[in-house]
Amino acid sequence: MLFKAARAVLFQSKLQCPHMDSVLSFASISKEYRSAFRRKSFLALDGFSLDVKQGEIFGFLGPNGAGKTTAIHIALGLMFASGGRGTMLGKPFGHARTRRRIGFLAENVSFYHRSAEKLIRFYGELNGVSDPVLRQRVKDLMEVLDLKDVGNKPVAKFSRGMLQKVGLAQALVNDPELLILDEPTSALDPSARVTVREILLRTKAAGKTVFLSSHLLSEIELICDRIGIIHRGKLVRLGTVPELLESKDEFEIATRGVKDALQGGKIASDGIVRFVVPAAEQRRWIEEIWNKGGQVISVAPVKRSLEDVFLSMTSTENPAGDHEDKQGAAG
Amino acid sequence: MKAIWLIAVNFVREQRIVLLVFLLWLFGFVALFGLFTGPNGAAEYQALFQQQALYGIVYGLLVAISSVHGERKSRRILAVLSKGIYRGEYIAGLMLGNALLTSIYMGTMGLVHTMIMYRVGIHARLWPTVAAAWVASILAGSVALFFGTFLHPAFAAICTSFVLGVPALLERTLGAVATQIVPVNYVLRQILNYSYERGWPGSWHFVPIAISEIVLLWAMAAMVFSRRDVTVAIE
Repeated sequence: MLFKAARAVLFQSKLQCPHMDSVLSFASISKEYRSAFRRKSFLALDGFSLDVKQGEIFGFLGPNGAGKTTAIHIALGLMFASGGRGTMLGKPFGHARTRRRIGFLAENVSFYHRSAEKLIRFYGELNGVSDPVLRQRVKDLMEVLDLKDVGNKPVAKFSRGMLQKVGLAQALVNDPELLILDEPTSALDPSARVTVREILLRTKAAGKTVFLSSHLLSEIELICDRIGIIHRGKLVRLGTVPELLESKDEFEIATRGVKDALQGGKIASDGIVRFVVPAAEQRRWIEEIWNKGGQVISVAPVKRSLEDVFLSMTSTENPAGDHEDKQGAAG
Repeated sequence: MKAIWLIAVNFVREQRIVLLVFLLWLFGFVALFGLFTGPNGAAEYQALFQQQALYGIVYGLLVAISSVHGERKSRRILAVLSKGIYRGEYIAGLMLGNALLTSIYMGTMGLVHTMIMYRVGIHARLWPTVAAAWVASILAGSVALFFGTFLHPAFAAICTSFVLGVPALLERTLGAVATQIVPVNYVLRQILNYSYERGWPGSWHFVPIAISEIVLLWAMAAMVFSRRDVTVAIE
């Protein structure tokens, strides 16, 4: 206990100085849920640290219950951290007026029983947007998100996918500097997903930042500049997409002329034999190939799919924070 | 200010079905009495007016008590509180919405009874009592909303009943002045003592007390709610 307190005091200066260019910064955030009468507790975030830089699309991955939504809600001031601190657009988490510069789409979004157009207007006005800018924004968003024909219909009659589109529209209505999306494409059809992807890329092109939490790894891989993987309340992996997909543990050696001399390689139609070898044995394998009279064509880190990376980081056998690939928090 | 107004109007919209039921009940009962009792039923009209005024106070309380809980449970609160508004503005919006709802109810009640009185030829001063009931309704709703920000509606109802009932308990030791502490109980009694001949039987000292308490309850509710997580499991 004393040690913890001392550590908190010693590292306080570090916690209070998030990266200057980051629009969203978590510094050692922890969140403990307590049941009624405080008999049970659950640590949803455990010293979670992360910096999201301006102008990037950041992919936030994690299995169910990893703490993704908790982290987002703390950033928005919808709940309060048990420890640590953070900033959003340079202001402490929960700063009400800063949220006017934010767009947020919640997971399993739920709305009042109004028409889509009136609802988007309502949220725009809550964020301080007024006519004629608001009128134009609503019109544009209804068109882009293909809501024009159903704008006057009450959202209570909408399908899940249509509701998600309304959710996106209300998140975008104030032309936010930082867009925080929690599972934005979960209920959308393929064409709507493409639309959303285009919107996110346009948002990025305009110099704005997107913080995207999703289970759809293909989406994340396709559009994100950097990815963070959270597991059991801790950030276990952080990096650009190529960084994450390249394995530092294994290398692929492409060779010619050793088809019969060495076992274990995969033979391609062009006669090239590929060996996947542990990083530590890379040199020995190359020497072996040369000794057998073979020719080394290339040596490259093994490319893994994002799904492989995600599964290896979040498997139950891999306790958070103990993985050898772990890169510190705050990129 | 605009955010408060938007939340208030939205609150009224969301409660429109319950409001409509109450208004139909107002019209329905008065129409029934008007049809069958006729000009000789002054005592019945008066009892009905007293009953509807009392129900109006309870209505404000019931609507307010579960408003925050309902918003959290439906997750609608997420989209609202993720916008650039303060929690205090949100609570003020709910309070104003509750006040608007009870205004519609009390206004309609006063109007319907005035029309009936006019039709059957009874001259009675209804509106001061309607106004007093309206103020009491807003105060009762504010107490309920305060407890509703941090308690389950069932517990909030118990606490609200206790707070509204305390003046009646204290009256035995402190005297009549105790009824003015949270003057909802005071207004309820005056409504029960109301008669067409006398009009509003009480004093108006309770009004500044009620307004001060409404402001205080808003401040307390905003302070408590500003420190609450709104998205955790609420059961």
